[in-house]
Amino acid sequence: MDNDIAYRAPLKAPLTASLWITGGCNLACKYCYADASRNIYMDPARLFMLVDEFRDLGVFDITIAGGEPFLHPQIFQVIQQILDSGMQMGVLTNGVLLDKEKASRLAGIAEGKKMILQVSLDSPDPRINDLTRGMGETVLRNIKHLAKCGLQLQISCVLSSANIDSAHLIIDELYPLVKRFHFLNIQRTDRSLKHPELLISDSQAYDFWMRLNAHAKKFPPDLFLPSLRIMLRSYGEEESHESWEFHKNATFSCQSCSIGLTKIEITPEFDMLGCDIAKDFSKMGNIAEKPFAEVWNSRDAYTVRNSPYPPCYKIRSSGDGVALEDNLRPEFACFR
Amino acid sequence: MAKQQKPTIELYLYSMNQEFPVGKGHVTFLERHSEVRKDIAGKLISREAVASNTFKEKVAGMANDWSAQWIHNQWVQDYTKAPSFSSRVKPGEDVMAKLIMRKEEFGGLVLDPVNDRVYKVNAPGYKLLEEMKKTPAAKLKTFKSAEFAADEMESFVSFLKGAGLWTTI
Repeated sequence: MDNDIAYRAPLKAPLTASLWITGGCNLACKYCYADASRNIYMDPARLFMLVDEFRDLGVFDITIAGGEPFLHPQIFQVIQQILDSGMQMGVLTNGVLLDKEKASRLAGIAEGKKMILQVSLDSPDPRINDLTRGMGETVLRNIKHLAKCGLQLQISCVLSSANIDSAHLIIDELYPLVKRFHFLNIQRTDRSLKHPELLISDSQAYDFWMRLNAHAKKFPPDLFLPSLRIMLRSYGEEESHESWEFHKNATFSCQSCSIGLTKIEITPEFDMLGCDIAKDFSKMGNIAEKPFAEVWNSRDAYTVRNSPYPPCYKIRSSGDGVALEDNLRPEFACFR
Repeated sequence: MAKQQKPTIELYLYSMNQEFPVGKGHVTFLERHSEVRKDIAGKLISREAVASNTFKEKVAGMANDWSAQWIHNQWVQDYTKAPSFSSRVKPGEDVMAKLIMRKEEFGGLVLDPVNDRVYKVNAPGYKLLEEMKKTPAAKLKTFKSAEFAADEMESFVSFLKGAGLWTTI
């Protein structure tokens, strides 16, 4: 029986849940890891029920993502419902659609509530930004207006060869209108592997994070760089043997893993995933017609949660795309 | 009558932003980072990979122990511009009043939304923290629990102080 007590999760619910409310996007960023090419939208009725379930279970934080969330016809109602339920909230957007009218509407809903709007921008210079994302000029204009409306913004900037030397200067352009900047290394996704010229080496990334650290010191203490501490810490010296290639060959190199334990992802079809990177290998079940708690405590969820390795380390790139490779066969369980 | 269990509190998540629970982190993972594969001759061999916890630049005091540095924010002090960078608490801000609590079978989880950290408490700890949260910050200095004796909650309070959650205005 799936709801056997043996499969129950250690927590009654995750701490954070990410809802991919649409599978469609109006941009086609060259490194995107979301499969944002499907014009599919989360069913609003189930979505609203799900938000209530999360509230009742004590989920602390909900992230609205996609695709591009502002393509969803009910996006403003969804945001309103989550904020009214008292949960913290983040919305991840490319910012293209957030013109003055939408910015004002959003500011009205979010006033006095705990919402962070994360807008993606790779460079304040549209010529650089558009090498990887597009619509840079529009987005920069919208960001400035959103900030002036009093919305709490966070900029998300993906580091690639196009902006690695100047990405930190995005702070100069937008501070103090924006005080939160989230930088992240380009990932080896299906899409970015088609643009290998954009990938960066470990040493390029390391130099960037050190440069950013030094640059941040020029700003007042309210500048917040959520990924800086995490990334710098990750650059410890490696005393690795030959098998470290195992890591380097992996399609993705995720530095942390809370898979199926504290954080979940919900796709537009209401598939529940333990990870947004290792999508194909971390499905815990589908909640379109089942209560969240039933799937959360199911055998499939248990399996994802208790896998010996994070599933991203089982993904290898090959000529045909990615494939699952089980590196630890049961007879060698003693090595776990 | 059996003595009541002491309230306990511990750090559970360093940050809700791309982090993992204590005990399911780098150390655990890296120690388990082994694999079995065939060598060129087709013979099965095991391989182990271990990453050290050493930073490229040495940190005084807690060298080589990143988790200790992280928890105590020593790392932040050494690597970023100011100790205050580690905390987003404004002077006079009542952090305890802002804590968000969630009951679990083992006790509960506590989110500090100001610093984005999550703590784990046992059932007595949950009860005690609820009691504390109802106490105005101005009266916290002389807080007395209706349920727990001073010695029972000593280490709990000490942890709260260390974590910056014991705000007395």
